[in-house]
Amino acid sequence: MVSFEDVRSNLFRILGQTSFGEDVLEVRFSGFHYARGVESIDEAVPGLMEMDNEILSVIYRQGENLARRDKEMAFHFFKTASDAVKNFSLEDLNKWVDMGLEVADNYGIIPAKNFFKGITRETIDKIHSHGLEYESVSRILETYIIALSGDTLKIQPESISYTDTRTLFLPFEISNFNDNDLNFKFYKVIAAHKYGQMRYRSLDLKLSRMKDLVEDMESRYSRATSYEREGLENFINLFPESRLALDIFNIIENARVERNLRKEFRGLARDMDIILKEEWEMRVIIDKLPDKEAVVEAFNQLLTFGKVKGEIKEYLKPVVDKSYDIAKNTLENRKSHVEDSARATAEIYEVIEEKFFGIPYIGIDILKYRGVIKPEQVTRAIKQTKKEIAENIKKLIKDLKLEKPPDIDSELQHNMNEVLDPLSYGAPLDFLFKMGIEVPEELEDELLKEIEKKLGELGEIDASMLMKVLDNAGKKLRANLQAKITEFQVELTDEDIAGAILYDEWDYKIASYRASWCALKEKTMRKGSDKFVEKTIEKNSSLVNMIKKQFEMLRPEYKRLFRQTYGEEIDLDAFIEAYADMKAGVTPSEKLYMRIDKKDRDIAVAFLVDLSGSTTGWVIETEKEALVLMCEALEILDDKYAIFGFTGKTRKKCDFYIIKRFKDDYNEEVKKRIAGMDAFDYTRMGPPIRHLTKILEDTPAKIKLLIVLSDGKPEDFDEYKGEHGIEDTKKALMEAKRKHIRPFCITIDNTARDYLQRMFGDIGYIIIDDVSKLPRKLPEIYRKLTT
Amino acid sequence: MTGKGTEAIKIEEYFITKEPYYMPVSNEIEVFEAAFKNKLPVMLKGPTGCGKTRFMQYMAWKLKRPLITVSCHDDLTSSDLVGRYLVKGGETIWIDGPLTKAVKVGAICYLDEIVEARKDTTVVIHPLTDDRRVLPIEKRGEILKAPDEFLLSISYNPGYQSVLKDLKHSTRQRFISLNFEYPPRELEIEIVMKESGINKETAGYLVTLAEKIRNLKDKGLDEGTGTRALIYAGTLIQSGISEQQAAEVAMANPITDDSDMLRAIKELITTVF
Repeated sequence: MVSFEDVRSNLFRILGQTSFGEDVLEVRFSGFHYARGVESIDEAVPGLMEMDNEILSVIYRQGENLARRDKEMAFHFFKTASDAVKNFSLEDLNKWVDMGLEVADNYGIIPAKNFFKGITRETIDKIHSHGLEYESVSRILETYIIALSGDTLKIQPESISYTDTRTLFLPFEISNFNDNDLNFKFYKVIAAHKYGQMRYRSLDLKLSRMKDLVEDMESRYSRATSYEREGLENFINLFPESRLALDIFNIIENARVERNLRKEFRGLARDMDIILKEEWEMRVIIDKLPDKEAVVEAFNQLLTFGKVKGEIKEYLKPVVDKSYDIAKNTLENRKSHVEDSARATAEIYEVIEEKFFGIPYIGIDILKYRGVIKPEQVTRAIKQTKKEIAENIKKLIKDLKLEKPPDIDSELQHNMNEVLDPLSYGAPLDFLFKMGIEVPEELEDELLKEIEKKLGELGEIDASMLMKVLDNAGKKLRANLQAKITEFQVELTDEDIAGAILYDEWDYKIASYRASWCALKEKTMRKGSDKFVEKTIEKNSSLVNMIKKQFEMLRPEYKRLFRQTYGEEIDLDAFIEAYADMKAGVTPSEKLYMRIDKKDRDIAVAFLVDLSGSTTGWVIETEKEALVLMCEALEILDDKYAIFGFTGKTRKKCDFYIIKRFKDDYNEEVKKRIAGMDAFDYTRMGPPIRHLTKILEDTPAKIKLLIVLSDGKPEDFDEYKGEHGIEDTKKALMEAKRKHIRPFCITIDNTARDYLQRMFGDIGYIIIDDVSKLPRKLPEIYRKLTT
Repeated sequence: MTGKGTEAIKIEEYFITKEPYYMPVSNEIEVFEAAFKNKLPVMLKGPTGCGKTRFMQYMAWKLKRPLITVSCHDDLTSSDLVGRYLVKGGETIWIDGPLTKAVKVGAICYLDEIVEARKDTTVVIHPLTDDRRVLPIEKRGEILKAPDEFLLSISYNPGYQSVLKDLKHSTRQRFISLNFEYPPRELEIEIVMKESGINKETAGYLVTLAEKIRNLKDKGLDEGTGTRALIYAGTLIQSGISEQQAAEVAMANPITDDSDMLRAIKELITTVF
C-alpha cells in the first residue's frame, strides 16, 4: 500500500492546489446554485491509497489528462476513482473517463464535473453494454485451463489479469473487438499466457541462484533484503525504484514466456499475433510520454512488437538501444530461465537509472493480455504451496515409517528451497538422505520409481506440480499407515437403548464385530422454509431444464424384447432354433415370443447425507440445493428414491434423519424437510449405512443404489477416528454390497484423499473438490450410474 | 438375428501370418507368454484405444495360434458363443459357436468388451477358466476338454461407471489381469508415426494434444483420447486433411457431446495446431 504522503504529493503535483470549491457551481434539479464550502484534496487520498500500484498509476495518468482540461474536474475524478475501480475493469475505467470528456465537449465543463462526482446506475449500464463477459465463457475457460495445466490452476474473475501461481485471475469482461469470437480469443490468450507463467516458472524466482548479483545490489543500493532472501518480491524490493524494476522484469520475462509458449503451441502463436495487433493499437505514442516512461515504453514496444510508435528522441536512443540489446542477448539463449531475465532486469535498470537518476517514475501501461505481476501475492501463494509440500513430505516420511530426525520442521524449512530447486528434482532420495532419513531398501525402488517417473515426464516444473507428484507417490505407500486411535469408549445406558435399533460395529483390531454396539434412532427431519425449493429452482432454472431434458432421455422407451415366454408375436430366431433343437431331439426352449414393452428400469436409490458439524454453512446449503435438483430430475423417471440424513455423537447417539422415505411423494412436507436439513454433530458412518442397507433390503427393486454424500473422513467424538472409523465404514459398505446393494460414495473434500482409496476400494466413489459443482454433478453422476 | 454368420469356421483363416505392429510398453509380452504356458486365462484392462486388441493380434502371431475374436453386445446369447442346431433341407446339423470352435482347435479366444454381454451369457465361460478347463455343451450333452494350446482372454474397460456394466467378481477373479495404459510420450509418438505415416513433429503435437485432453478425464470427460484416435487423426492428416480438422473429427467430436466441453477441446486444438 502506498503512503498518505505519497498520494497526496502526487495529487498536488497534478492538481497544483490543495483545495477546491470556494464558489462551486452545482447543478441541482431546481437549476444552478452557488454552493459554498471548501473541499481539500486530502479527501481524495484514502480511497486512492487502497488501490494497487498498477491501477493507481493509470488513475494518475488519467487525472493528469483531465487536469489539463480542468483541475477541479480532475479533483472530482480522483475522489470518485475508488468507487469506479470497484465497478469497472481497467478498460471500463478508460471508457468512463472518455464518457466524462465527451460530456465536457458536448455540454460544457460544469456537467462534466458533476459527471465525475459519482457513478450512476445509468453510467454503469452504458459502460457494460457490450463485449464478452467472463461468466458466459467461464466454464469453457476453466475446462481449457484444467486440460492445459492438469488441474493445478484455478481461475477467477478480477479487474486486472494476473496469477499468483495458484489462481489465475482473468478480467470480468473483454470488449476490445466487436466480434465476440475474437473477444474469446483474447480471453484464451490471457489464460494460456498465465498458464505459461506457471509452466515456465516465471514467478518462482530463486535468489539463491544469483547470490553474486543480490550481494552486489545490496551494497550498491545499500538495501538489505528481508531475512528470507528469497523470491520475486524481495528481488524487486532491492531496487530503490521498484516500480521501474517490475516494469522491466514484466517486459523481458514475458518475452521469454511467450517465446517458449510459441514454440510449444503453434496455434497459440497464431492467436497471439491477432491479439498483439490489437495491443499495438492500444499503445501510446512515445513522444507523448515523459522521458523516463518513454524509454521504458520504447523498449517494451521494440521487444514486443519489433517497432516503435512515434519518434524516439535522439538523446534517448542510446539508452533504448542498450536496453534492447541486453534483452535480446538474454533471450537468444533458448534455454534461459527466469533468473536470467532477472539479471537482465538489473542490468537494464542500471542503464536507465544512469541516465535519469532521481527522476520519478510513474510507470507504463501494461499489455492487457500479459496483465500485471503482483510480487507480494506471489510470495503469499508460494509460501502456501511450500507449506503444503512440507506437510506432504512429512506425511510421506511418516507413512514410510522412516526414522524421523529430531528437528524435522526446521530441517524441512532449511531444505525447502533446495528441494524446490529444479536442479535437485532428479534426486529426491538425496534430499531425504541429507535430512538424515534412511529409506528402507524395499521401499526405495517404489518411491524412486513413482517420483522420478513423474518428474521425468514433467521436466522443469513448478512447486505445485511437485506437490502433486509427492502426493501421488505417497498415496500407495500410505495405504499401510497405522493411525493413532484415541482409546475412548462410552457405555450404553437403558435410556440410550430405549426406542433404538442396535447395530454391530466392526473392530479391525480383533477382526470381529462388537455385537449390538451402536444405538441408532430414527428421527424425522424438522421442517424449514417452504420457499427454499422454489428459490433453488428459480436460481438454477437453466440447469434444472438441462437436467430434466437429460433425464427425459433416460425414460424407458418401448423396445422389442426377444425370447420371451409370452408376447404378441413369435420370435422367429427363437422359433427356428427351437425347431432345429426339436428336430435334433433336444428339448427346445419355451421362450419363443417377442413382446413390445418398456424396458424395465427397476431402480431404487437412497441418498444418505452427512449432516455432521463440518458441513455447516456453505457445504450443507449446496448439498440441499443439489438434492432439490436431484429430486426434480428423479420425478421425471419412475425410479424409487429416498433421502436420509445422519449424524451422531458416540455410539449412544446415532441419529438417522428421515427426509423422504421410498413411500413418500415429493410433496410440500418433503420439500420443507429438505429445507430444514442442518449440520449437527459427528460422522459415525457405519450405523446409518447398516440401517439404510436394511431399509433397501426391504424395498423391492432389481437394482438398488445407496449413494453416500459426505464431506470427509468418518470421525466421531470417541475412538471412531482414523483407522477404526475407516475400517468400520468399509465393512458396512461391503455388507451392503453383499446384499446386492450397490454403494456409491460422493465425497466433497479437497485435502486428505489418501484414505478414500482404502475406505472405498472396490466400491465406486468420486471426489468433488469444489462443492459449488455438486448441484451440477449429482444428477450427472446418477445418470451415469444408471445407464 | 442369431444363426447368421455362424457358418462353419475355417480355422486357417484365423491364423495371423504377418507380424502385427506392436510396441511393448512394459513386460506384458513375457507375462502373456507365461500365462499361455501355464494355461491361465487373461484379462486385458484399460481405456479405449490403448492397444488391447492389437496386443492380442500380436500375441496370437507370436504364439502361432489362431485368434478368434467375439465382440460382445447385449443381445449375445450363450448359443451365439457355444453353438446351435440348424435345419438344412430336412436335416438338422450342429454348428459350433466361436467359443466351441476355439476350444476344439486350441485357439486363442478373445471376448472383446465382455461387460457389454448379458451376465447370464458370461457364466458359460466359468468352467473354462478354472483348472477344469472344460466347455459343457448342454444341447448336445457333451463336455469338451480344452487342449493345452487353448487360451481364453477377455477385455474390460473399467472406465464405465455404470452399475449396470460392472464385471462380476466371480468372473473377474478367474483371470490374471494385465493393465493397459496410454503409452509414455516418446513411445506414443513413435506408434503414431509408424501407424499413420506422419512426421515426428506432427506426431509430437498430436500426443501433446492428447495429453492435454487426458487431463480432463473425470473432470467432465469419462475417458481420455486413445492412441487409436491419434492414429486416425494422423492418417487423415497424411491424406491431406488439415491438422485442425483432423484433430477435431478424430479426437474432439467422438469424445463428448457436452457443448462447453467440446468447445474447450477445440480451443485446445487451435492452441496446439
